[in-house]
Amino acid sequence: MRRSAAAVLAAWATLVAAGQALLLEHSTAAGDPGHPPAVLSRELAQALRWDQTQPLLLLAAHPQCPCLPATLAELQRALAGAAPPALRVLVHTPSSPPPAWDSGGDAELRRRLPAGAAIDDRDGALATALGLRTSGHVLLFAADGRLRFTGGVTAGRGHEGDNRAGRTLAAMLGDAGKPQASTAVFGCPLQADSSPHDGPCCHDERSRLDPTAR
Amino acid sequence: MTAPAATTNDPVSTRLLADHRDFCATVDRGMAWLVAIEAAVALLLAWLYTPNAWAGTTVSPHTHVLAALLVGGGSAAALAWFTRTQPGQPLTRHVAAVAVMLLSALFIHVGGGRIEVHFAVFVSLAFLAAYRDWQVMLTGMVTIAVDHLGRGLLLPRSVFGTDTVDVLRVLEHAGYVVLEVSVLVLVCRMAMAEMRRVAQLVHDTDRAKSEIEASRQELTERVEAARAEAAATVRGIVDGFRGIGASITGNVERTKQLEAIGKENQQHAQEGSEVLQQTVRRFQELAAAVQASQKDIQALVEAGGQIAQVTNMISSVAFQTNLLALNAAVEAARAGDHGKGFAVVAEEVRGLSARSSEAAQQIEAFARNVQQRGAELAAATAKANEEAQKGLQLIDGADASIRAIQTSATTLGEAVAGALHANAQLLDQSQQLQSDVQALAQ
Repeated sequence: MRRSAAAVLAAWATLVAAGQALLLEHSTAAGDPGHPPAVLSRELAQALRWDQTQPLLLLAAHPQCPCLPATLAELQRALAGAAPPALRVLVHTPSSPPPAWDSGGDAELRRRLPAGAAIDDRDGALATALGLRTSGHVLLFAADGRLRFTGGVTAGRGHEGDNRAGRTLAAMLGDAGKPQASTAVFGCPLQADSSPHDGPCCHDERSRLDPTAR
Repeated sequence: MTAPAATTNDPVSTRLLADHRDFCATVDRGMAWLVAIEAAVALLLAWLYTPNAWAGTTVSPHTHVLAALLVGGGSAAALAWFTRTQPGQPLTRHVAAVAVMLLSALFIHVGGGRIEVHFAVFVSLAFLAAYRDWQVMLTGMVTIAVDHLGRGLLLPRSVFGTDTVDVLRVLEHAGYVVLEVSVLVLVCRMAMAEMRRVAQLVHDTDRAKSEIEASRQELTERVEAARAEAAATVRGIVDGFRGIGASITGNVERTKQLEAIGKENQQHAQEGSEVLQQTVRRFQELAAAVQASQKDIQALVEAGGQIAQVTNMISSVAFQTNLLALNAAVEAARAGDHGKGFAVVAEEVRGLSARSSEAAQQIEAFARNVQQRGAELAAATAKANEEAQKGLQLIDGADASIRAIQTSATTLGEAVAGALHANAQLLDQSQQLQSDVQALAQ
């Protein structure tokens, strides 16, 4: 009986440890930071229907990603009290959605967005062109097209709540003089070949975009 | 008051241990169901809110679902196993404490550290207090502390919803937990003290019950012995009653015989009395006849006297007639022839006178004889009358005696009838009493 109890306890501990590890890994593993352009090209600006009269806040959104509501909530929080920039949301729209794809999620996302903000991103072509690989990736471009902010606005996947990334974006929206910044992005990959990424890529991107970040 | 020790010789502690083990076994089952339900709810929520993880158009189960399955399912399965194999054992309730706290931590984690989800910790601690074991409370507290400490260091936002960890906030959380656990530990100790009092009461009650049972058993044995003795006595009484009944029956029979004899005697006395009466009547008649005979004899004697007088008179007449005949013969002789006829007549008269005198003498002799015989007969009759009177007196005495015998026989008959009636009643009562005693014996 003691051996059985010990075996059960060991198995239970293993399962719990595995579950906690999964949760920890899931919550802390940042997505691929991609390689957004330091300056937005005129062609991409036109594709984004941005006239460059005000800053552009761009969000790559996978409508099925359960982490997206937290990102939208944090964006709303960051935008509160700031001069509203031009908001564009690249809604990932597969040309051949799988059976599990819930079209209701797409409609819900568009309903929550301001009019004209949603852009159908067929098969993620625009996101790919912008170097965005992860849903929830936010880019803030200054009116002159310079990239000021890149990364996520949540502290973890699907984690809604006050966090450093959200506060950074809010600060940059309120102060055009703030230096360029980047944060880790948490969300579902926009493409199937994307994989969670952290570490060197983020630091590389951050260093590429903001030499002072080193 | 701590959880009862496993090894003790104190009967109250032994009972308390058994009661607490049974109680905890019940709580184990409740906790197993609770953890299973919580795991199911965690899985359901994960499946509802984060069913899938997406990579472009590629879908896979979300980590939350897997984590809920591993942590929740694993905890529920482990607790179910311990509940089934070791119900009521200390290890099982400590497993329950860890499991329920892990589920609370899981809720907090997948809830993004929302403050509302932290209520799960306090609710779970309250649930664990049901075990009335302060050590279980400590296990639960340590479990949630380790979880919060570990995740607070590695992933603070999963605990507090933010990356900014305020030490005061951590201390505040810990303070609430410590406060609740302290109160619950106190409640557990009070509950165990109450259980000990109850165990003491139950023990005392059981002891009293055993004593009562022993007394009852002894009383039963005594009653049984008394019952057996009473039954024997009753059997004796019944037998006695049967004997009495038989005696009474015999008495009744004998009394009936006596009654019959009494009636027969009475009849005989009656008959004797009647015979005596007849005898008296006959005697009286005889006495009357004797008296009548006496009177007749007296009359006869008197008649004899009168006959003697008459015969005297006849003798006198015959003498005078003889004288006259002599005279006549003298005269006839004087008258000669003329007187011859007369002399014949005078002769004839003189012969007749002689014969009358002779007849008178014979009658007188006869009368005298009759008179003498009548006197003797009168004397005999008087004596007979006297004897008859004496006999009458004797008969009267006998009649009185017979009447007395008759009266006594009647009285005896009545007494016998009364005795018969009394015996019959006594027999009935005896039989009734016998039945009652037999019923009582049964």
